[in-house]
Amino acid sequence: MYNLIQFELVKIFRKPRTYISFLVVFLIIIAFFFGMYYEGEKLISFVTQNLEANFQLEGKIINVYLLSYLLMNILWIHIPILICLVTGDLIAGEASKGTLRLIMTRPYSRFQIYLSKYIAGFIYTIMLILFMFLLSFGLGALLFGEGDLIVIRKLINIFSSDDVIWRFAYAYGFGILSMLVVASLSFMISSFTKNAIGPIVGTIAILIGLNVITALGMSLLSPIAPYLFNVHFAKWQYFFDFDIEWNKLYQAIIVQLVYIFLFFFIGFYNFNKKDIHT
Amino acid sequence: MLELQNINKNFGDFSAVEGLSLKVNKGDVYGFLGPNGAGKSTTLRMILGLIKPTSGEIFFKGNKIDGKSKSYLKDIGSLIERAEMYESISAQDNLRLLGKLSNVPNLNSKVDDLLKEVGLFDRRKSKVKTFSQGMKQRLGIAQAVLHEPNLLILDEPSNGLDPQGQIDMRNLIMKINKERDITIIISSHILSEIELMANRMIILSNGKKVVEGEVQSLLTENDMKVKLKISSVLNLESLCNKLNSSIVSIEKVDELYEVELQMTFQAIPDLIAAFNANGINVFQVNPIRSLEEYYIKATSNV
Amino acid sequence: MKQLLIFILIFSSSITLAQSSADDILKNLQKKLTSTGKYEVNINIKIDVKFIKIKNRTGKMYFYPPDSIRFKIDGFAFLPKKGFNSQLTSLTSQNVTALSMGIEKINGISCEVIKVIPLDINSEIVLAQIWVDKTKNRMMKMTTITKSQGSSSTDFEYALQNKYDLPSKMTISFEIKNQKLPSSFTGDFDQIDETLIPETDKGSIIVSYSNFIFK
Repeated sequence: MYNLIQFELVKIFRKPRTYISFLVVFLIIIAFFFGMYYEGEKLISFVTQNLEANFQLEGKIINVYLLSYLLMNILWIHIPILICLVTGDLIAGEASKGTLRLIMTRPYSRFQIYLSKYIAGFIYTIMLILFMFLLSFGLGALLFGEGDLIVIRKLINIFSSDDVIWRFAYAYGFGILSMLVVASLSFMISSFTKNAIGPIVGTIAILIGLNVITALGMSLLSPIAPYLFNVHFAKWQYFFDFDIEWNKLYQAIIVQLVYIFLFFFIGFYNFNKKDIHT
Repeated sequence: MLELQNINKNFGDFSAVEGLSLKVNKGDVYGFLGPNGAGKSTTLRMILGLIKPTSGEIFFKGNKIDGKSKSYLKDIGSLIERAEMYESISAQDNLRLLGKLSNVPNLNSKVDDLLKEVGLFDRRKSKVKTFSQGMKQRLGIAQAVLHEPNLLILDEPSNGLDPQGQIDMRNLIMKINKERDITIIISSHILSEIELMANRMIILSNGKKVVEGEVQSLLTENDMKVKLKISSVLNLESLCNKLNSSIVSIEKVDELYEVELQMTFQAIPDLIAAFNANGINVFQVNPIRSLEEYYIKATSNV
Repeated sequence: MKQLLIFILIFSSSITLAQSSADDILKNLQKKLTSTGKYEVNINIKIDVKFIKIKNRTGKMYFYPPDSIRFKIDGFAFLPKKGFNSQLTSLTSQNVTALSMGIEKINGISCEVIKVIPLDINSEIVLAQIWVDKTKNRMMKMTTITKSQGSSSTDFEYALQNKYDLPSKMTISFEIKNQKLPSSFTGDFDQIDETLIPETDKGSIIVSYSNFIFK
């Protein structure tokens, strides 16, 4: 099994498109930091001008923590695309290229083959997120230094710099879980299609569609909203409250884990019974 | 080595393979013949577990293949249709990765030896995407035998190759069969290939077995052409008619006549006796039976 | 007629007297606050606004006469826009009319209520009112109405003895508009309790002073 996972990882990391994903993350972060370095004050002022009516604001608002927090909002749209670019290709891509039969005529069960691809896809996803974490924090600290974190959501929360790292750790952990849902979804679709475009387009279409539906029809969908996986993607922000809503977070974690397993088993059921004609 | 018993495969209402039974003995080079859509690839894929039979049983080395355990595949190597390898990886790394999956001992040296054997050692570091189709097919053979299987399944191995490539492929397969003592199942459209390589064969048509047996004995049964060198063609036609054979062509070569007759293999002794009795001396008898003719006849009757 | 004239004379005199009395109170207060010279003091800042969550901040405040303040705070902080010196200085540095409005009690202390009206129509401060403990020459409370920042009210406490009798606590109260972002921007689709985040709300900064070091 270890050999299989290693085999899958080698295939993933020998493909140019894998490095495109890391490159895109790198470019997004660089562009964002560049913009904030030169225009950050202006951008932040629309938030602070109201407060400046009554207060004198003292301290560095634009620092590594604020920028890393803002970058995490990329988890919304950009990272899912980069994830399913690779995970959507794991079965369908090999099927279309004809290399799927290479591995399936080896003495490994379909479950072992499916699981090893799944795990390899997960490892890639985690590595991409960790790369984003390291780059945003490393470069951010170098360019912008530390400071307190100001987070504007329902309330304006200001966290001391010594009260921030653990929040980011939890938030990234939660974000990784959400992205594993995306990876699972695209992987499941990959087991149904014969080319890699289907899983990529299908996953993005589902994510965007669900986001639009939940944004527009929030009141109508409120009974079922907690059971849709997309509504939980942004809940990493809950770690940036003084009173963390742990119950909602536990619910979000459970729902997302259920979807990961559900997608896994649906995909495997199809993969196990399908005839390989390519 | 391998036995299929009453294998059926349906895709919806379409019956791709119907009631197929066959036997492959150890050491055979077993030919799979049949027109497009006959069920050859489907049958081979069922043996390899890529497609699940609708009903029937497959036995490998006496053990039933139940579809759950794939451990039997460690003794089978395969090259299905066009050889597809991982194009962004070098030939050497492709084999090393696949060999690691099969726990091949002394992997690195085995890979290098194999690459030499298939004539790709000089290109071992090149990415597969730079290879010609012939090179890819040879690499495909290499990955199929890397783990020293007992059975090698080749589905259209010469597909897409030029005539020289086909010859090279044929020679490589025969070399593997002899030197490695591997049983080979080979499916091909190139009939001469089967005729030259296979000792046993099966012909499929519309998913059903038409005939199975030793290649040479199949070719020599029923109607065939016979070329004879005889001294005279006097009364030739009436003699042939009596023995239910017909004259295809007559050609005078020096003092003798080269005659081609359509007749059964079994009638040859009677024909010679009849010629002798009528004063016609027979200097040479050559039964001519091409697989192509046999194949077209066999499949057209189904 | 004669009685009316006498009445008008007495009334005008009393107004003039009251006005000069209010001016004196203001001047005395200003004199006390400007006599401190340079000083530094430890501060603790608490923000009491419903939609702002921030832990108390500690640091130092440095005062440089006549009204310059510098802060040294650990981390990010919301600070009062002006210190107590500056608030009074901005009133007394321009032409104003000060009127005594009588006596009111603040925390049980009788205070002279002085209304201050800047005469300059371009003045940022439109109107101010100060409650002064005359006996100790302490400003107990001040409310101001400004053109750009609306109204605010500042309460002073004097629990700490120090050389110049400066306040130990200053509580500035004001109205503030909420800064919430819509859920479609933050991606937070959970139902939000709207009572938590009103459009505008009252808020306050509470600055506690300790350990004055006068230079």
